[in-house]
Amino acid sequence: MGFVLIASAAIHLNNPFRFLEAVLNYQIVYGFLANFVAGGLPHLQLVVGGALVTGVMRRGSLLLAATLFTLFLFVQLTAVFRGLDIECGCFGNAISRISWQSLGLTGLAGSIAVFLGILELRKNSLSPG
Amino acid sequence: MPRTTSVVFGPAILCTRGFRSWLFGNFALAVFIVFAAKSEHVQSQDTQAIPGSALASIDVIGSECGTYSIVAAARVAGIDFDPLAILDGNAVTGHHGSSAVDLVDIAASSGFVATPVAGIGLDYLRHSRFPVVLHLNDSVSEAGSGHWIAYLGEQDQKAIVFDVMDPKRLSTRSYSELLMVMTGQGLVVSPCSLTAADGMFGRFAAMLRCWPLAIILLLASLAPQTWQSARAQAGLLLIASTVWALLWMNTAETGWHSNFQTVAWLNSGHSAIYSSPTGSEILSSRKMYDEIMAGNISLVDARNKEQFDRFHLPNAIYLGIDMLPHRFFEAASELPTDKPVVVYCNNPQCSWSKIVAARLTLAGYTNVSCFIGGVQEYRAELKRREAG
Repeated sequence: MGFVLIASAAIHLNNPFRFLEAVLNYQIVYGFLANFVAGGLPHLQLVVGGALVTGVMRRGSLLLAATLFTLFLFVQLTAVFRGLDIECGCFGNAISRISWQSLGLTGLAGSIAVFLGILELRKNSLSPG
Repeated sequence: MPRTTSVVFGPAILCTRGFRSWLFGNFALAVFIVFAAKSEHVQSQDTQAIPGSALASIDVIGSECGTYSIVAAARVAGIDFDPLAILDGNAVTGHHGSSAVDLVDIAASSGFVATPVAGIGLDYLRHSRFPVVLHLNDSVSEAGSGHWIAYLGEQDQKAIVFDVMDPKRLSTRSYSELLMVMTGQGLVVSPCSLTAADGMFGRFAAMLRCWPLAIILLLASLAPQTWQSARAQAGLLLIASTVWALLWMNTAETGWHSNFQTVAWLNSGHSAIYSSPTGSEILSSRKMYDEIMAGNISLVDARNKEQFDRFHLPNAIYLGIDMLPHRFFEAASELPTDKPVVVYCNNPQCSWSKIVAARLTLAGYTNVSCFIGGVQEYRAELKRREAG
């Protein structure tokens, strides 16, 4: 899951203007907010992905990962319900349009993040001291 | 967990919180060391090798952009071949132009190599040893089928581009504008097969910047043990990523600070659809007709070139929705500044006039209006006047 986030972030950082175009296509945010999302989100993905891979701040990184994937799933669903035939903005051209594939992958990743988060909480509540 | 010291990757020694931190630190540093080495870049003066006058004398049709681009790229790469054998038009198999496979075959039959590459970004272009034939998205093509151009090097921190559909053919464009319209796919034109190092740039060029991530995670790993709650850790990671994002956005070659015009261009195109241009007035067809006849306004046609050539309002200038930023701002600079500017497109349902009006605002024009009725209402008004 960490590597998925890192790969996605690398693609977005490689061409930030296409990612900005993808954010604008969702027709949810414009102007400064769109710049903020398009400019900041890849870095958050990279930091969270790196934290997941290295095990640094596991709880916080799992919480952020679950939040990111859940939000992204919600945004894609709103685009589907509004009838927008747009690029999902996931991995550049690898998954181009919003589809059941992109929704499924996002949902799966979010579920894994939540599951791992619950495991992490249980592990720490069971550990002595 | 084993704790291994490494003399070569010195700072990674500090990543002692577990084997994974050490591994990630070494990986990030290795990527940085490998890709920080600058390879020989395409020399900008080699563009003199392109026979500009010879190419200009040949009538160009829209589907030949791929073959012309590969000829230009091969010339700059110093490859010895017969360009006219490529430009005879027989190599194009598709109705709308060359496919990547066509161009690979063209190169092979002429004795050089065109290697398809995906994920091309700024880092790849600037570190490429050879010219790259780039595929642009549908928005730049009248036929809506994409377009090929040749990236030939860098001059004054701008990309040297050969575009057969540009009147100048050879021009320089900002990298941000190029990134905006690239699909990320292209063909590297070289005398022989690419090395493994050349091929790796496409996949890992952006990872060049990842080494600060190792520093951030190192600092995060040193956070006090008392920060055990998920929310506290998430907050710290959010702060770290925000600081880094702000630094990146304002300092990188593709940062917002140095490319605000491209960012504003993208924003204007989308937000204008849902709002009226700032400070504009929506003109009626009757008033519009009178103003045109009196010559009191500068008319701008926001439609694409094909529609403009078929019919346009009297004395209208073409500044279409399909124009790339560098051409748009060049053409917009020729608009008279002493008259109000009025933008039109096809009909009231068309939003292109609002988008182009927003772009003119970017170019510095403040007295910009939209004729929402467009060509449809102008023609209706014309008929009304002729009928008496």
